[in-house]
Amino acid sequence: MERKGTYPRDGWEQKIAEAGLIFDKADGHPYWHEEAYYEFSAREVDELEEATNTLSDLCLEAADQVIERDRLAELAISAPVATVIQESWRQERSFTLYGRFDLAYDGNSPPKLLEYNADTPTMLLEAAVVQWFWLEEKFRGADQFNSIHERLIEQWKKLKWYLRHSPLYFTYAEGSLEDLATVTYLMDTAAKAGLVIADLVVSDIGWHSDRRQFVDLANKPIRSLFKLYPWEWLVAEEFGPHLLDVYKEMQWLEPLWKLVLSTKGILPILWELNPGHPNLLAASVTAPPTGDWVKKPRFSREGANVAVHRAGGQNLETPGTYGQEGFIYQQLAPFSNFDGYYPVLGSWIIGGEAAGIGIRESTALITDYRSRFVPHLFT
Amino acid sequence: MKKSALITFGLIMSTLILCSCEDRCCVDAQGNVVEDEKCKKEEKTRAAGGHGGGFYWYYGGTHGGVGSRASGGSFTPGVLRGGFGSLGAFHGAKGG
Repeated sequence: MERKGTYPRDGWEQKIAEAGLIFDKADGHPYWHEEAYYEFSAREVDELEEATNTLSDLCLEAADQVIERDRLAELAISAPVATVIQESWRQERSFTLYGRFDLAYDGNSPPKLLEYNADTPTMLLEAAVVQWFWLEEKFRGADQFNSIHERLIEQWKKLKWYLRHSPLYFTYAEGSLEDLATVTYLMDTAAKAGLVIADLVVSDIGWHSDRRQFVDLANKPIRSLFKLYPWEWLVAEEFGPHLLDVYKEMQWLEPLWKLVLSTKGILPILWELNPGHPNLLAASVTAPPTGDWVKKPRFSREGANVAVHRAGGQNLETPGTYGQEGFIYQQLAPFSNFDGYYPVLGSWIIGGEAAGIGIRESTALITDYRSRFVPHLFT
Repeated sequence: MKKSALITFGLIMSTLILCSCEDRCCVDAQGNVVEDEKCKKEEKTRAAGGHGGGFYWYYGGTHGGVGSRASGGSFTPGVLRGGFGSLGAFHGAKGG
């Protein structure tokens, strides 16, 4: 694994915008960066693929352990939500589209799981489409660990047989260009698979109190819903009790059981069940591991409220609005520095199988909303 | 004296805004609020093929508690919106 410098394409800004990357700036920091790329060997890609599939299996085993042995309270999940999670796990275990494992990797040590974005992963369009166009134009003949687009369409085709009702609504929070672009892309892949689709801002979802149904803006019932909006928020908001009441009368993507894997509270359980596993980092709820460690909120996004503690000082902490549900401790990953940057590999699992990677790099150890996306290839 | 007046005003205000039929509330034929149990009992009676006793669900609007008159709502069921999205607005980022 190497980080290499290169010239950007002529007109690259227009090209990425035409590919749908309409959120290229975060606080003035460019998000897409093609003056460099990461190059992997085929062996390294095989290692990443195998690690991703292994982690997926470990996570499903951990979910089974947590759900079937009544350990959901350990994840700060309330009893009413836990009851519906148990039903969801037993009835719709394979009703899932995707997830993204965030990995620390340098080509020398095994990939290490930092966290699993199991519920509302983004960084999708740039990994699936934008970096592929970059490869085709810049390095025709080289390859990329990326079949994300094809796998999404393939998985939608499978899910189509499970979906009992049309249309499949796609909902998201207003005000985030990244979420809008992600949902628009996912709708496109679903439409290519033959699904009938519709979109709806999450705050426009109505609750019909007499029919006891969620409805769209025309008061038509919503029976199938893809949501790019986290489960822990949906169940905690005003309509949360209604949601739990009618959950099994609808079909939700991702299903509610994914909440178990999207909390960082699953990391100590993964370690407990698989101590010393080469793809895991030591993690605990009660006490920091020995050596350097990271403190992460159970639920948080974009690296918010994360603290890095290093035995020799150089501590680091990010601000944010998370942490009410508690924190976990995780051993600090053995990050390697590539030309002053720390890459985190987002490894996609689609339909239960590894499908490709996208890389974000940062000058700091914590990947946050200012980290930038850098394309990759392998030879 | 001034303090007492304020307290009284506060009590009146709290009575006036004591309840809302945000979801629904039960009223009689004159629109006066009664206990929800009367509407629930009537639903069961009607479901069993019986006649109702003149109690109705009232959707939206406000009232001052049982015995007061409900207003500002409708006898047709309401659709509430805005029950999702508040935490997204608070935290600012959604996906991850």
